[in-house]
Amino acid sequence: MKQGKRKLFFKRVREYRQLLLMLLPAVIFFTIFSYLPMLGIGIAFERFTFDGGIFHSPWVGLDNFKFMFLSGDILNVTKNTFFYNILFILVNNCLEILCAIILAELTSKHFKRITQSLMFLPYFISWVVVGAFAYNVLNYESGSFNTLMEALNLQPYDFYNTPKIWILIIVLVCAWKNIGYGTIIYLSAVMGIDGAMYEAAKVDGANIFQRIRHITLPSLVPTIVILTLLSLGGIFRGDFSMFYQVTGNNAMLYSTTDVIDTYVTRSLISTSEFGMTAAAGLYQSVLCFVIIMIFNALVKRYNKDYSLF
Amino acid sequence: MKHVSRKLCVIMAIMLIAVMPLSACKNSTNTDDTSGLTSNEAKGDSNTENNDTESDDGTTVDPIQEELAKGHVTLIGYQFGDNSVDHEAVLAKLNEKLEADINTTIEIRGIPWTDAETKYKLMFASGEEFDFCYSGAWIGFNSVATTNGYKSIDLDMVKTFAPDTYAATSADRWKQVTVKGNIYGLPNINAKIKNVLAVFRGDILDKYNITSISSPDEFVNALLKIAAGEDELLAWNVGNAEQNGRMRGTLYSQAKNLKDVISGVPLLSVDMLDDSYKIFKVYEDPDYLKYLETTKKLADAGVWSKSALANSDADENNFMAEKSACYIADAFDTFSRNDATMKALNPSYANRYFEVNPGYKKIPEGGNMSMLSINANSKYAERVMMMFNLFETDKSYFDLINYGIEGTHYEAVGETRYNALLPKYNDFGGFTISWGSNNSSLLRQNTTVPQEQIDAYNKSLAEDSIETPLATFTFDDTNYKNEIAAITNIVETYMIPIELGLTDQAEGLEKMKQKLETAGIDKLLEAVQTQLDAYIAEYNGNN
Repeated sequence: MKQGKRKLFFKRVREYRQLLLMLLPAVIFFTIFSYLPMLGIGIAFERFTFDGGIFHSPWVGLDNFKFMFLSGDILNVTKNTFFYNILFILVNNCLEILCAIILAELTSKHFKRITQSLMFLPYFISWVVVGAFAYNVLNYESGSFNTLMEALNLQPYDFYNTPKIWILIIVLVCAWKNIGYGTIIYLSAVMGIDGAMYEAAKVDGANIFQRIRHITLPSLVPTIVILTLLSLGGIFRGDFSMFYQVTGNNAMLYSTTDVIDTYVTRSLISTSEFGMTAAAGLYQSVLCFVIIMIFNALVKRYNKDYSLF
Repeated sequence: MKHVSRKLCVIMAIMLIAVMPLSACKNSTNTDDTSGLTSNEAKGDSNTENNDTESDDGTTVDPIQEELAKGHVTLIGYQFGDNSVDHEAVLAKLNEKLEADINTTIEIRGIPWTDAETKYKLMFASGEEFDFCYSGAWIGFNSVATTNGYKSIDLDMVKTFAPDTYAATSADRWKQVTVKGNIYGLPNINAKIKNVLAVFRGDILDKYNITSISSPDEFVNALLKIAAGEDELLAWNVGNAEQNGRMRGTLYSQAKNLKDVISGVPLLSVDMLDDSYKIFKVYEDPDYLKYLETTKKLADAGVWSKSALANSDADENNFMAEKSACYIADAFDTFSRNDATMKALNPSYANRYFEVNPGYKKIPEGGNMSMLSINANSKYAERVMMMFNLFETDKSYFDLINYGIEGTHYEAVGETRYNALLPKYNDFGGFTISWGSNNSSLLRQNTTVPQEQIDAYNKSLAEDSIETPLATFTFDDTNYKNEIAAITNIVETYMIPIELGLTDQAEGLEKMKQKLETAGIDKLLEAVQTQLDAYIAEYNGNN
């Protein structure tokens, strides 16, 4: 019986050898870059030493996690990270879908291409450069915004001392930078929709808005759900360079712009304890894991086909 | 179910295959290692045989000759920064000399300044093979030492392989590079103080008739005058944490001769002249509150930008970019270079220097600020010591790694001065590893530095430097890493905005105090005081 099973196994391997071979690179990639490094989680519970490495450093239990909770700011920071990411997901996805649909409906090929390229361009600009832009536009004395205000005889605005306005600035900057990339994904989904459906709708007398409402949007739902679920996986990770560079690491704005990543960097910049940084990373990963499991379960309940697993 | 287990089998099998090459790699390196060992042992055996025969002859074996007999060695060393002008040519010349003298060549690798903090530690974490590197307290010497990244140095070995260094280095110097009982670096022997000066643009001072600045009050008044009169130019463009520390020094701690007991935590200080060494929290000191009032006044007067906290440029860079009238400098070496740059921009920009707190006490820089350390994995500690001995005590080597090739880059003027042969060589800078082997008795000054500046510096070095156990005290933070991390964060979040006077100070201070208490500042204070008391007792016992 056992032998029969084994025979069957090898038979199936032979049978599916091409498919398995195609799977192999992905499996190797994830094994080396995702599964083996997981051993590194151990560092979060150790006092890491160079000679001890991952396996022989002294064990300290949960000691490495303590620093985050000592001053009581971590809750606010975690909250910031969470809500920023929710905002990014909502705003970016809505704008990306909008742009994708508009691009798809455009008929002039040249205009379409130029628009798409211009939208994609900011994606390639480094956050450091964006930070320098922001400083030169927004600083109080010589920023271009305030120079303009002065020229118009209006009161200059002190951006770097007004934490609330930065929620808007950061969301806008993030959208400006990332929209081009997301639009491409949605655009390809829109292009994949069967043209016959549009033809049929046209024949039945549906106008362009009806077609978008009843054909394009429903067809996009799976893509939207998958992309949202994937971004939920990083919901407790702040984009460090964005929050650090765009605000210029300005302490006055921390109440609204501090995220877990900047908070941890600030705490550990002078100590650089490997265990403590690993602990912070693990804290984020565990929260992300919980969130993604919850949302995946919810999606599964609503429609099994849309869930990730 | 069957289906699933079959799938699993396939995945497991493939994973095993994927892991196999990795383990194979490991095996092969292992075998390499052992083969390396055996060959070394073989070499060692033959050497001992030789020794035996020699000692039979009755001659004693010179360990240096014995080391040289092992053959040619290439040492790999790490330094900071991009390569200096003519790096290759100077290195070739250096290797030629090293080859002849100790049968060694070196390969220098650089870590760019921008990555310095992160890459330095990764070098050790990744197990990269190198032999020596520049190290210093400011680049994480203590944390690398406590995580066993450096080879512990045996003084007997130094005595054998770097005898001149051994003779020139005081016991105190070795103590400064000792962490938990082990020596982890070959310290420089450069007597040096931080000569903190306020640098002003001469033309601006003339415009407002400011002739002398010799107290914090006069400094503040000068800034206020400039801020009131200038429209485009900021008086002093402070910003990030480091400049903030210089501001705190100039306007508060220098006048009181204070020293922070934990580097990076400017909250716990001690009076250097107080024999009881009682540590206190600065924010409870009435003078600190007065200092905050001063900074508020400066901020309100527009001495620095309202967006100062978002400004990541150093005040020195702002000054050089003609955006501000003043900066605080603490590097004697940069004075002459900056003078030249400013004069090139506009001849009327003659820089003027003022000591805001004349005669304040300075602790000479310890050996732990700049040194060369040996990598824990290095097989050639002896050669590194022999090389260091030459770098630190042989004038021809010292000149070569600091000033370049004589006749090409510089010409010697007497024993203590040099002349750059082309203007661009004023910036030569040498190899940054040479900072680690610095030696004040061999140092030359550029002829562009005026004699008065050198005299003033030497006077300050002689009169204002004090000897104190605080110089060598380092806090063992092993059990307080969490507290320090949390407190560092609070300093950045609350203390800096308060000090820059851009926020409601009373409210901010109250909040900071409350946060610090929950983060365990009292616990930390108690721990540092206990360690310091114990250290002072030991120090006094030894002296």
